[in-house]
Amino acid sequence: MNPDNRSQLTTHWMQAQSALQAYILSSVGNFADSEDILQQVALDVSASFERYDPGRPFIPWAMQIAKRRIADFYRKNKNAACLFEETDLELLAQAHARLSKNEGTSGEVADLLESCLDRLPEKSRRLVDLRYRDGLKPAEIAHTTGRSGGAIRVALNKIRNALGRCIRSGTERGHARGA
Amino acid sequence: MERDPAELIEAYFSGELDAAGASALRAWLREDPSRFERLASESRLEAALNKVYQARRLQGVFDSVDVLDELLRDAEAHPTEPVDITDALERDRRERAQKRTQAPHDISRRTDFVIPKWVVYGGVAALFIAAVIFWPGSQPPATPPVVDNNANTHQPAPPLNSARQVATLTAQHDARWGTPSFSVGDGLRAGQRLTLDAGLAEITTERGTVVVLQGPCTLRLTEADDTLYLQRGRLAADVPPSAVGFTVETPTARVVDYGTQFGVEVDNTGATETAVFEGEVELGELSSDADRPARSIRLTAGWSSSVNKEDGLRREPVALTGQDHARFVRSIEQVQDPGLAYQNAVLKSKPLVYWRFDGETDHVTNEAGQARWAGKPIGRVAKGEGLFGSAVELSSQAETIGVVGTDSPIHLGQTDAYTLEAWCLAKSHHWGRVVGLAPFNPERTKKITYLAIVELLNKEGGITLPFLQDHPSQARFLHRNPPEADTSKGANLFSGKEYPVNQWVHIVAVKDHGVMRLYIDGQLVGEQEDSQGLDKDLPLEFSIGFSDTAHKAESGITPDYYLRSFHGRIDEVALYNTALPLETIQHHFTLGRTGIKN
Repeated sequence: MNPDNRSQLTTHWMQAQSALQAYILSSVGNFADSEDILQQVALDVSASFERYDPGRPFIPWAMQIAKRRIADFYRKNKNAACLFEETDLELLAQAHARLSKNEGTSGEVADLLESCLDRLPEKSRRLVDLRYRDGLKPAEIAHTTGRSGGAIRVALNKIRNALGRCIRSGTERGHARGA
Repeated sequence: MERDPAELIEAYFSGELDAAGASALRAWLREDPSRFERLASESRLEAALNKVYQARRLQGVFDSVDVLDELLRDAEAHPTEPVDITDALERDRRERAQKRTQAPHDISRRTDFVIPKWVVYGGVAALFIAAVIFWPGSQPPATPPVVDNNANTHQPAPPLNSARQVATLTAQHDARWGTPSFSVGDGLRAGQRLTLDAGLAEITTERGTVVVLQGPCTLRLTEADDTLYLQRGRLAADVPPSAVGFTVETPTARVVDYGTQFGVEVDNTGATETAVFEGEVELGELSSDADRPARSIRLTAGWSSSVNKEDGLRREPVALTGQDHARFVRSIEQVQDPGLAYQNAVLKSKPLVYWRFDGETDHVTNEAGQARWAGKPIGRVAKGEGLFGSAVELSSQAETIGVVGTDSPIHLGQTDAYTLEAWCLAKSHHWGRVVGLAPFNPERTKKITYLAIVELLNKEGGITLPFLQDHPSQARFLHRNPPEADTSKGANLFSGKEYPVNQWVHIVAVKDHGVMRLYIDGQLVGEQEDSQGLDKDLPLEFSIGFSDTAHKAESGITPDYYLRSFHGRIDEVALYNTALPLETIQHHFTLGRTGIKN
């Protein structure tokens, strides 16, 4: 690969990576699996980059490559959480591509998320820590807190939505400032 | 769809989605294609959350320049292999899991090395693809790879924030603070000093440990992970499994927790005492004496030990006394709502039956409001003042007898142990049954025989059972298996001294496999071996103050002593299918005693 191509690929990849990972995650459900698949997609994208047409958007092109790896994953893991069909995956890919246009870079999102996490009320923050820092499933958290698994899942979803609103308002303020 | 889509989406991400849920999620998405955008949006946040926490773990992995340096040198030496930090992550994950369960908690390593955010948030794949691009099998680069993704627009990650919040003040009672003072809800930061001049304060750490401080007390929250420095005063800590490794340091000692409830007290000389109520801690001395290596000891529930400046660590642990239990306030609830604190302590031991005689239904069990075995009165049951609310008032009048659990038979289950617990106030020395376990007999047609009885004896020690005459005015615990055996069989345990009258007394009888124990007011007063087993399949009824009316009808004998009706009040009655340990019994006694009015 010539140095120019290498540099372009790197730039495209860094911009597309979080959208691709989110797309893979929405297709397979499990974050660790999505990381494995993303690594494979990285190799595939690198190997196919010479065939990429720079006149077309990169993310949808990379998502088609990712879809193949997702299909491989489904074949090998027939018991995977939720197996989507081709049309579902296509709709998901389109949704991700639309979302990626309005989002900040992964670093900006991460910064905002860190500060939004700090602003969570203490109990919500504890719940998030149990889930993401300690790796407990909602059913396990339910066992330690005396609530039901369903209640924990709904609570986590509400917290995630609150974080999402917090990030969006931070992004809008950033855009308004012309940052 | 029946299930909330929010709940389904969470189940999907956390690996808890079953086939039915998966089908429901797909159906919900397909009903309206715009819903795919919701799933997409939630996945982006889910991925971002995972990465933020992953980044924090990575900060821990790269805790010295050497580690990252080693990885990069390794990459140079093996140019055809991609740089892969997943091994380092996996190693870190295993080490942390091991630390949580075994090894003493290490004061967390501070990192002075700052990892550029693009490395961390760019993620594993960024490094991976960097490797793929820059090492396609050809010449290794002379310098380590750097993917310059406008790195100058990303600020380096800040060093570990020494002012981060490490705990919250979650409750206080009559608290008088030095300077500064605090209010409930205040976040407490690493390095913060707390001076509590009087009263109680409860702080909860980020990992969920609940610490009750008793004034006067001086404490500092350290920068180290989940570690407090107790300079002077008394605290009790309740450590959940997620916070194993929680540490209290003092001028002379370090106490490391392994999942437990424990108390620490430091006096003006810095001498430290540690009492363990549940679980296990490691108590170590902090020695500045180069010739004497620091010693440590593992303390389990029911034991205490101490460290002082002159002698260091006391070698022999000492059993906890009732006074130790009373000395440490383990929850603010104990003081603010002692009845609730008592109830919670009992429920923690999972009783099969728990009667409090306070409300309409008169019973509380460990199934949140649902009574498993309801008490049903025989005759009129009066109420009198109890420990925290009402108690049942019993007399030897034939019309006012007792309360019997007759809704359905009780099964002890697969156990070789049980515990009977009650508080009773006897109006006089008399022969009265406190609690009993007997074969299920709802029609009251058969003569009652007992698997277990706890009763108080009169001055004569019992007329018709001469072997009781050696124990006048004592408490008695009988275990007889099978219950139908004649009255000369069974094992008896006595309290050894007279029980007080017109005073609340805590009685606990424990059958612990081959041993019987009797406790009065938190003290072991009798213990003996007993090889009689336990018929686990026998359907039983649990009764208090009960009189043997069927036998009365059959034999025609009416004297009080044959009826064995309890004369006085009984409260906070519990049946467990386990053997309660001494420290739990002492704790119940300590909490229950706060309910006794003068």
